[in-house]
Amino acid sequence: MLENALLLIAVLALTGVLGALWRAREGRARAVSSELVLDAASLGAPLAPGVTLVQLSSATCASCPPTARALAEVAARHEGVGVVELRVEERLELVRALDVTRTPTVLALDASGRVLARASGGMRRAQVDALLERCLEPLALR
Amino acid sequence: MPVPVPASSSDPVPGIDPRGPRFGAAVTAVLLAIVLLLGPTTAGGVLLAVIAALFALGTARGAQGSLQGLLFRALVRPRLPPPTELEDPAPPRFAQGVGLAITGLGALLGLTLAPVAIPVAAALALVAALLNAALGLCLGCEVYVRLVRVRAATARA
Repeated sequence: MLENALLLIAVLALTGVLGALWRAREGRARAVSSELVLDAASLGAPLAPGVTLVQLSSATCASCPPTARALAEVAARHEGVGVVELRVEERLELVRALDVTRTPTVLALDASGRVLARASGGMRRAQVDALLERCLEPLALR
Repeated sequence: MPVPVPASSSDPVPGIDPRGPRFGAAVTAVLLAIVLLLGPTTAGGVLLAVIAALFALGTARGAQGSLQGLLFRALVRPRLPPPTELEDPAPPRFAQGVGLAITGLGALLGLTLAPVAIPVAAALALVAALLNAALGLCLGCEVYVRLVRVRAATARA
């Protein structure tokens, strides 16, 4: 009985650690250094003149609709920023090429389709702002 | 593994209160903690099988139709303010299916071949249930894409 109780305590502690890690990662933008390009043809949608935010969603994803709303709201506040939402079930070739393992995954593309940054997990508006800032700053400097 | 069919636009699925599945996950977590306390025993295996049966109900009818979901509607929701937004029932239903797979396999193996499968399955399901109840972690967000990729790779091979 004692070892069972200790096992339960260990599992609870592990859950706390995993939860903290998950929360720190969720929706956080990171820069992409590869020269990966997603042009309008491979995207299946036109690219915006500034930044295009591409969201990969799935049918079983509870955080996808709120993330899509956050992207649309932030995009509406910026000139030249567009949003494209794709379903992973329909775009397996993209999912594999981009190594998407969870939904939502959001990519930020420049006007030529180069992937500038990405984030995965549910995103709040402030996190979408942070993702966009990463992409707009270098543009403003040019 | 049952994969819920996305709702077609001609067949609108009414949204559910997102707090329901999270309350249900908390109830399930308590039951799973008891399984861990019972350890690799017949009693633990039987309770794990009962939990698997609850997940089976939730997989068939959606989390809102599970016993925990009915409990939420009868006892908890009347005491809460109305939900600020509703959510698609497909993601929590997918999570019920994942729970069914883990606890069902654990109970089956644990009661026949290897009793150690009981605490192992209970521990895995407990981590997922607690993260869901406390933080809103969504299994359909975390594992569904991997399943789709594996299925597509197997279909090609």
